[in-house]
Amino acid sequence: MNYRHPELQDRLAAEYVLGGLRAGARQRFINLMRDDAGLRRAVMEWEDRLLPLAMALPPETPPAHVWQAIAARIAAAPKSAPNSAATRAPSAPRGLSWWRALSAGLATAVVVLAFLMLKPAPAPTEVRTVAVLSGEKAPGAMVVNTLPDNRLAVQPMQDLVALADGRALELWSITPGQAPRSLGLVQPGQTTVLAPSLLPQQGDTVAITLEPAGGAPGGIPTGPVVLSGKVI
Amino acid sequence: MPDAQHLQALLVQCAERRESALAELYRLASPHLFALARRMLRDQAAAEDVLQECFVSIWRQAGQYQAEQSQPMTWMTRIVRNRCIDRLRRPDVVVPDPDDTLTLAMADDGPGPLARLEASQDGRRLADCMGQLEGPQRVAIAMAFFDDLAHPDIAARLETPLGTIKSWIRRGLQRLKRCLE
Repeated sequence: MNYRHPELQDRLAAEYVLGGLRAGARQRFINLMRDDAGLRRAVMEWEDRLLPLAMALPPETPPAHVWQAIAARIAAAPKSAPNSAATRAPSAPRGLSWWRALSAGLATAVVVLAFLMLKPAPAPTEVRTVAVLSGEKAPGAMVVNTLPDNRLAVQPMQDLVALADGRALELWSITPGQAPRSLGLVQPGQTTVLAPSLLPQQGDTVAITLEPAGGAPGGIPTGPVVLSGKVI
Repeated sequence: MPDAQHLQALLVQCAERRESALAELYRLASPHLFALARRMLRDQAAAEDVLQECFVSIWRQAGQYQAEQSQPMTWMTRIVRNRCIDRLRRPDVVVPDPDDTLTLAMADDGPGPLARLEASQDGRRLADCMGQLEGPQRVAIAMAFFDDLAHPDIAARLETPLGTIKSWIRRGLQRLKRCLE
């Protein structure tokens, strides 16, 4: 069979993409594709035509533990451009002064930040993820997004009811060298939309603490940090 | 349906190793990709495994994505679909019979899978062109695509001679191609 015949290539590419080439035929076709740019192009064209068929299925949200596993695996992978301040994740120091420890750890980033702050961030026009929060046993457990109207959507990527253990989850933004600023209370099992007066900025850390019902008294965190992450 | 330009921007950020971009990509794309894996594999745990593997691949291969060559959703769908096919065709995997409700509904012109396809950004033209095929052609194509059924299996399910199935699929694909040009 002459595989270079364009019509045959096109027909085989269509069958391959639809899944009609079985066992040996599929493997032979994959081998041919490696050395034949024309065949690869024909396959890509058929993928562009046929793969949107997947959109005919009703979308299904996967269970939360799938994302946790992904977050854990990509966090463990080496990074191409590590930032020493960003990768030094706060490891949940306890007590009233935990934020001081955070601030100290982040102080090295201040000079860089001062430079970054000279360029004001453009106003968001779409939903944008600003931070992914992780805990000791809960990688990627919460995602903080900004909405186009400058509010924050705080989305648990898993059910955090057990983590909350009956207490309130309070979200804080910590600018290096400053006291934590409460952004509000968040629900453990659903997305919470908050309207803080000041959004977390690049270089800030956002963290969740466990607080008494109604939130930390006097706007000062009292409970342990259970989740935290850097604003990107 | 996720916006293609936004997904492209997120893939670029993934290539720059921004974990938050992958989180958002996952939020937008995973419900569609998970639905496909569940449908093809007919196994919840296997679909979860495949989805996890695929998003790790997407993260690692994001730098190879070329916007001029394929739509971002197509690129991610290819990763998921190929992995599902590899798994389904392992000799040790026993796959339960597919539920034919969805594939048979492809023959209907009313609300159903075709209408859902039509509502998505990437799928509108494909839905129009699928709509121009005859019902049985659509069903045979859907059974090959969603259930990874070989032609003889489709023939058995539809109680139609194998030669007829082959010609439905071949002609259906050619008509789709002409319609989409």
